[in-house]
Amino acid sequence: MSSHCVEKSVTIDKAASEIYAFWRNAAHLPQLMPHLREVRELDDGSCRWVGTDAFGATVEWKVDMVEDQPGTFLAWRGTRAGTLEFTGNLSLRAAPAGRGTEACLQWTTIAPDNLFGAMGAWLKSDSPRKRVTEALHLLKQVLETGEIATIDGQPVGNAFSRHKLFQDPHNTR
Amino acid sequence: MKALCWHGPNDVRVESVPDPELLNPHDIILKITSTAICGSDLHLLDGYIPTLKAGDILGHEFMGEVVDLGREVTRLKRGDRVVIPFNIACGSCLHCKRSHVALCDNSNPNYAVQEKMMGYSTSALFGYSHLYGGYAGGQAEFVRVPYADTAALVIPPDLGLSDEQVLFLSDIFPTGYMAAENCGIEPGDTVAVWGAGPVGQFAMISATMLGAERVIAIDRFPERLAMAAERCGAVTLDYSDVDVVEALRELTGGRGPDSCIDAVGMEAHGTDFEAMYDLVKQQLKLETDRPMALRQAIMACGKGGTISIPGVYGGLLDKFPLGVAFAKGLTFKMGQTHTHRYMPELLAKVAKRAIDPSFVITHRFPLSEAPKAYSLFKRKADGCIKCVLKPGGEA
Repeated sequence: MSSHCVEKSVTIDKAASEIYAFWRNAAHLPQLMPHLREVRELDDGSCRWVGTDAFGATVEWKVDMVEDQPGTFLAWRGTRAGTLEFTGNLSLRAAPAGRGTEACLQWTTIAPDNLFGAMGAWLKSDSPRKRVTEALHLLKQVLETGEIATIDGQPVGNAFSRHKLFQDPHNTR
Repeated sequence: MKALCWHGPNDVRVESVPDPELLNPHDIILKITSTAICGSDLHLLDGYIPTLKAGDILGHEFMGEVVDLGREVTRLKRGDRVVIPFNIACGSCLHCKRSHVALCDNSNPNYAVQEKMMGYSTSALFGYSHLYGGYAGGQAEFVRVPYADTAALVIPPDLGLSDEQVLFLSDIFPTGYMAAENCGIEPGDTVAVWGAGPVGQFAMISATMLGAERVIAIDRFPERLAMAAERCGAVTLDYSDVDVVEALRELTGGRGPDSCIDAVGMEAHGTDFEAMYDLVKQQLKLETDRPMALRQAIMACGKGGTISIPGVYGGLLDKFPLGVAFAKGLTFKMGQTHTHRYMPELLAKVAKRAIDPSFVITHRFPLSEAPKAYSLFKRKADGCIKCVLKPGGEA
């Protein structure tokens, strides 16, 4: 098995207990990880995550909590058809002088230890770094402001000229 | 509705677009009664700010009437007459709580692009490229305003103030004021201001309000220098006519100005070899900004002085005399204005009739003629200093 670990931090101006409680509620996770469609808690305490991979195919994982220290630390592992695909943890600690809480999210993607497995995992991973950064930004936005900043659905001018063929070549987006 | 859309460098059009809708619980929809074109919109028109997309609605100086409210807006009601600051700020992150709204952590949906370019993301702005969030701007009949309880400055009807008297609380008056405040003015100070455009004018008036002994305006357009002399009590210098560094030295008994304000930014003009050099490098994309005014301000500033930069810079500068700044022990203060923080106190000054900000307006157009207004403003034709657009059409 080969693994790839991403670790990112953000400071949130809320108490650690509030951040912990939000993350601990499985129903909140699709808000933070847009590739997840549904997260449901099962009777045995584990969760079923239903989402899509980088190609848009539906994927299901069984996610077990492996460590739970209320208010400070959560760790989990996700398996797909019995094979370990990822592990992750969220650790929380107070920022200095009342500047909120430092939330650190660590995510490890695990791939079968052969060339095809590694390539397949890489292709399907949809950039773990992007996912982790996004989850932390969205967590901060939801907790601090009660909403997620968006411009989806706002008016724009003549859509035809928005096609990339008609765009200024100096424009980077 | 009608809105002014960007389609490429020097191509802006008034088009019919869908009306904006509430997208988040703290949003409001505003029916715009007055909006203005800012000097920084010319950087967009000229194509120097990356990440605009064809069809983007421009405009970040606007005011109007609240016509719709998100379910969690508590401080406002339908019919309120409000001025909206050009920065979009959540009001709840640590930076916002410290009134550093231009550094808001949460308002920019494109934080990832900014983090790549700058290391960290800053507040979003209305109508100012996708790097700054991609929010539709206010040169339109209607606009969606996020985090409205934090943003909107309500203008009480009993103050009896016209749109033109309060419109510039959205940007250029606070921007000039913060530029002057950043100088840390002490009694006896001389403040030199590069660029006698609208922000420069407000910087000069504000410097006087904050106790400057003397303000000096540096520009080359006679109508702008005349306005600085008449409305702001400034001594004026035409940079095409005099050696600015030498003239400032002589005007200050050899000490140099205590503070220098660069109200020009990335598209400085000039008439000499240096101006040609920067223009060529910028056109060849070897530098993004033409920092002539800033270089001159650094050279001219007295020892231990402060350089305050309200002018917008976009990227990388060439031949930046940091050694001069280091040798003279200069202090640099800069950044997008923390507009929200200044709006109430500046409204109080307008309400007391201590200042009437409408003096900078030279031209008024209906929104339908916005492209013409952009062209006129860009060319500084017909003595144009500031254009106000009326979406209602009764300019």
